[in-house]
Amino acid sequence: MSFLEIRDLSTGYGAIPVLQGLSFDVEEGETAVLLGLNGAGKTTTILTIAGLHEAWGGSVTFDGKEITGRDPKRLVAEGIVLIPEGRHVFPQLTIAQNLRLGAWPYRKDRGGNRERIEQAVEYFPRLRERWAQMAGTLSGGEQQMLAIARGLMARPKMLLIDEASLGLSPKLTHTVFDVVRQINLAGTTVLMVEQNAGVLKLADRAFVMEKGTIVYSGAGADMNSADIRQAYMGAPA
Amino acid sequence: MATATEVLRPVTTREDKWRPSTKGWVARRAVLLLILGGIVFLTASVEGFWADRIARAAIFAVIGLSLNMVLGYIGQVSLGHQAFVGIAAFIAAYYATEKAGCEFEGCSMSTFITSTVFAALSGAIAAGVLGLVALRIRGLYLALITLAYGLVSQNSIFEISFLTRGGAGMPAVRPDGWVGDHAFAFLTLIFLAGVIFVDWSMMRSKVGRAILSVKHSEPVAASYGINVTGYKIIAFVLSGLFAGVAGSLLAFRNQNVVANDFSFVETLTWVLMVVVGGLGNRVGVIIGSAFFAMFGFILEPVLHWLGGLWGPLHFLEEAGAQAYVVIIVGAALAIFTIIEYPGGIGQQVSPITRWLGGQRFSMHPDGHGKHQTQASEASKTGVMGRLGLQRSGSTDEVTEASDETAPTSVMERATVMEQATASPPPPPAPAVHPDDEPVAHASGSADDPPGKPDPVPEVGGTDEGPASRKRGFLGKLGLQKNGAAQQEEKTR
Amino acid sequence: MRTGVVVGVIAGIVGLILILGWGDVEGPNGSIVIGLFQGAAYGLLAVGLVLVYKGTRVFNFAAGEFGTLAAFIAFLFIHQWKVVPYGLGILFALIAITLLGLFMERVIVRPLMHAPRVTLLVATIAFGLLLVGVELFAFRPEPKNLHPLIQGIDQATGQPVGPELAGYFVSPQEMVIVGVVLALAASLGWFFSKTDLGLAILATSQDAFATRVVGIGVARTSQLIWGMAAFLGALAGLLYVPAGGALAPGVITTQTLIPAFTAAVIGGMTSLPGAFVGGIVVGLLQQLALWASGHYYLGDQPWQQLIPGSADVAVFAALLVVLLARPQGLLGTEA
Repeated sequence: MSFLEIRDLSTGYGAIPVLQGLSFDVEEGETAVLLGLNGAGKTTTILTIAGLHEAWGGSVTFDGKEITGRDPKRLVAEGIVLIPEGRHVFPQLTIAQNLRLGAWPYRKDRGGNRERIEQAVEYFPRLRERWAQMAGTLSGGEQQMLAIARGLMARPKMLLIDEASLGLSPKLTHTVFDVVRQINLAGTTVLMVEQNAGVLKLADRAFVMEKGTIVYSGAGADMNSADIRQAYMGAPA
Repeated sequence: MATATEVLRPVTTREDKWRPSTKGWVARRAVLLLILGGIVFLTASVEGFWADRIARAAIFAVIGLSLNMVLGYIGQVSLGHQAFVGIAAFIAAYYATEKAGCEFEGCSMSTFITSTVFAALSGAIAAGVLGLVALRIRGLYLALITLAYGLVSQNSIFEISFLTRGGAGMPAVRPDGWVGDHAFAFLTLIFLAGVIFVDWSMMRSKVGRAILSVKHSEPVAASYGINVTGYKIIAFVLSGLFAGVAGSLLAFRNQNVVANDFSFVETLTWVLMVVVGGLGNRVGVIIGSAFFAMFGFILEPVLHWLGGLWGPLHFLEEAGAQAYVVIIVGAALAIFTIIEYPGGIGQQVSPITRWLGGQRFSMHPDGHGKHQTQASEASKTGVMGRLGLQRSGSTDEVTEASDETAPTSVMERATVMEQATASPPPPPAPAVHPDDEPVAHASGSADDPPGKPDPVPEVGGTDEGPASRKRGFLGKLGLQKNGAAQQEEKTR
Repeated sequence: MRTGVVVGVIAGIVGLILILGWGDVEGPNGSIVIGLFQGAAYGLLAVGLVLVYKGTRVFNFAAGEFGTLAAFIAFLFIHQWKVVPYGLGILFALIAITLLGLFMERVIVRPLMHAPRVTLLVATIAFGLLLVGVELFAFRPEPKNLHPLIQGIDQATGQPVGPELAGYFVSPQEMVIVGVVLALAASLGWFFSKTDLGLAILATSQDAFATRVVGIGVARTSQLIWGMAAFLGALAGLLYVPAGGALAPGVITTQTLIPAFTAAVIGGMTSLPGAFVGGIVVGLLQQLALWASGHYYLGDQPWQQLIPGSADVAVFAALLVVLLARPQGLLGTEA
C-alpha cells in the first residue's frame, strides 16, 4: 500500500474531460514529479488530489484512507498541503500574517507555530528581512518562498507543489528546489508538478503526463534528456 | 474560469438548415394570429376596469423592454428607471395640462402625440447622460449610481412644486376619442406593438448584433473594430426612449401624475420582473412584465376568499394587502428565478417561440436553426451568461492565457497570441475598481463544479489536435515562454 | 498614513468653519454638529457594507432593510405588544436580524457564490424588496414611532435633554450613536488585526482561492461575514430610527442606504476606518447643503423651495464625483 494512491481518476471542466483513468502511486518519504506539456492535466491532477477540483470518478487514497472528494479544509488538517501555481499569497497581509494563516488548522497551538516559523525562516532567511512587509510588495521569488513557508506551517505530511519554478530565474529556481529537497529529507513526502526538467535532479520518481494519462513513469535519475524530449515533443528525437 | 480565450459567438447565422413547409408556415401564422386576436378580443370584451388593467400591463411591458435593453442586452443594472419614467410622465402631463390647456378643454390627439414625443425625448436625454456615465462606471458601481439617481429624483425632482402642483399631482387628460378605458387600452397596445417592432428590428440589425457582442466581451468586441462606446450609448438612449413613452402612457392612463407612482419599490419591482421574464428575452420580458402588472388583480379575489375562510386570516382582505403580497411574491419569485431558473420565463416558453419563429418544435433550448433565442444562448454560457450580466474590468480575460488547466490550452494560447498580434490591443477598460473581480484569477478553474455549462467548446474546440502538432517544438516552446512570462507579470 | 492626512484636513476645515461662525445663530455651526452625529450613523451602516464587500465582493442592497426590519421588530416587542423592556426588545431585534443574515447567506449568497457579482447584487435587491413587502404587510405603510433609549425631551419641563453645542441640543440617542461607533471602531480594528477569524476574513477578501488552499472553511467565513453585516445593519437601524424620526417600511433604504454607500465609496469600499470617516464626510455634506440651500436665495426664494432635496443632491453629486474622479476613494487601500 503506497502513501498516495491515485486510481482511475477522471475529471474535467464543463463537459470536457481532462483526466481519463489516471493512476499512479507515490511512496512515503520520496519526491515524485509530474512532467508534461501545458494542457496535459498536471495542475488538474494536483488540484483534484487537494480537493479543490471535483473528481468525476476514480479514487485518491492517502495513508490508507480514501480521501476522494473531501473538503480541502479536512485535507489540510490530514496533512495534504498544496502550494498552488501562481503562489496565491495574501497580498495585503504581512509575511507574519500570511504564515499565521498557513497554520490555520493548528491556530490554537501558539507555541508550536512559533517553532514552525523559526524552521520556515531558516529555510528562507530572506523572509525574516521582510517580516512586516505586505506580501504583495515582494518579488516573485520571495512570494514563492513565502508560499512554500506558508505551506510548511500546516505541518504537511505531503506537499503538493505546483509549478514552483514558474517565472523564476535559474538561480532562484535552484534555491527553491534545494529547499524542497531539504524539506523532503526532513521527512515530508513531495509531489511536484513541473515543466522545468531541472527538477529531475531531486526526483526519486517521475511521471510524464500527456492528454490526461501517464505515458511514462520511472525513477527520476533514469530519465535522460532523450526521454524528456520525447515527452515534450511527442516524437522520438 | 477555465476559458482562456474569448471570441465572439455568432449571434445569428444567415443560412437556414431547416425551413418549415408551406403548411407549417400556415400553422405557425395561424397560431400567432390566434394569440394576437385573443388579446384584442379579451381587451374588447372585458369590463372597463379590466381593460384599464390590461393598459397597465401593456405599459409595464414597455417598461420591461426598456429595462431589458440595458439589463438584458448590454448587461448593466439600472435601478433608476423610475426616474426616467417618472420625469417623462411629469413632462407629458405638464405639457398637456399647463401648455396645451387640456385640463378644461380636453386633449387633442396631436397634443397627446406631442406630449409623448417630449416625454420620450426627456427619457432619451436622461438615459443618454447615464450612458455617458456608464462608459466609465460599470457593474456594481453603476447600479449604485442609478439607485442614487432614482432616489434623488424621488426626493428632489418629484417634489418640485410646479411639476406636482404642490404634491396634489399633475392631471393628464386622455386624448379625444380615446378617453374610455377600452379605447385607451387599445392605444397602449398599439404603442406596445410599436416598441416591440423597434426593439425587434434593431436587435436583428447590425446594431443589435454589435450590442450583444459588447455585452459578451467589451475588449474582444473592441478588438473586432466594433465601436463599443457608440453602441452602448445607443442602447441607453433607446432604453430611455422606451421609458419616456411608457411614462407618457402611464401619465394619461392614471390621468393624474403623483410622485408616489414612481417610488423605489416600483423601480425594484421593474428590475425583478425583467429578471423573472428572462434577461435579453423579448417574449419572456413581455410576459413577465404583464404578469407582474396583473398579478395583484388576479390575487385580489383569492385573498378575499382566503380572508373570508377563517377569522384570523381576515387581515388578508384589508385594503392594500394585495399590493404587499404582490411585492413579497414577486421578490420571492425573482430570487427563485435567479437561483433555480436563470433563463426565466423566456427560457420556459422558448420551445413555443422558436416554433413560431420557424423552427422545429423541440424542448431542447440548444435547437439547431436560424437564430437561437437569447435564453438558449444564456443556458450555454455558464453563470455569467445565465443572467446575461457582465463583469467590469475584464481586459485580462483576453490576455490571461496561462491557465494550464484549460483542456485545449495549446491551441487556445496560439489563438490568443495571434489575436494579440493581429488585432489592435483592446483599449484600457476604464474599470472603476481594479478589485471589482469576484475572486482571484486562477480560482475559477478550480472552483467550477463539473456539469456546469462552460463556453470552452464554442471557443477553441473546433479543430485542435492536428494543428497543435504542426506547430512543432519551437512554437510550443515560444508559447510556453510567453505563458510563463505572462504569469510572472501577473503576479507582480 | 493617508487616512491621517485626510482626517486632519477634514477636521481642519470643519474647525475653521466652527471658529469663524462661532456665536452666529444663522451660521452653519448647528448644521455641522447635526452632520457629525448623522454621519456617525451613516458610518455604522457603511461598515456593514464594507465588510460584505471585503469578504464577498458584493454590494448588499438589502442592508438597509436589515436596519428597518430590526427597528420594526423592536417596535413590535416594545411598543405594540409591550411585553419586554426596551433593552431586551433591542436585543431580540439584534438576534433576529443576525439570524436573518445567516439565513440570507445560506439561501441566497452561497448558491450564487460563483455567479457574477452583479447577479448576486440583483439577488440582494430582491431580498431587500422582499423584506420591504413583509414590513408593509405586517405593519402597513403608516409611520410608527420607536422611542429612543433615553427620551430626548424631558417630559416634565418640555426642555430638551442633553448638552447644547453651537445652538443645537445633542440628544442622548445621538451620544449613544457616537459611543457605539467609537466602541465598534475599536473592537473591529482589534478583531481584524489580532484575531485569526478576522485575519481569515481579510484573507478571503484578498484571495478566496488561497483561503481554501490553507484550509479555511469558505462557508464559515461567509457565514461570519453575513452574520456580522446583518448585526451591524440592525444596530444602525435601531440607533438611527429613534434619532432620525418616523419608522416606515423601507425607511433605512430610502434615507440611509445611499449616504452609507457613498461613505463606503469615499473610504475606498474596502477600508473600515475609511467608512467611518466617509460617514462623517457625507453627514457634514448633507447638512451643509441643507443649510446653504435654505440660506441662500435665488430671487426672493431660497434654493430649497425651488429645488427640494438638496441633501440628496449633494450626496449624489459626491458619489458621482468620487466614482468618476477617484474611483479608489479618498482613503485608498485596504484597512
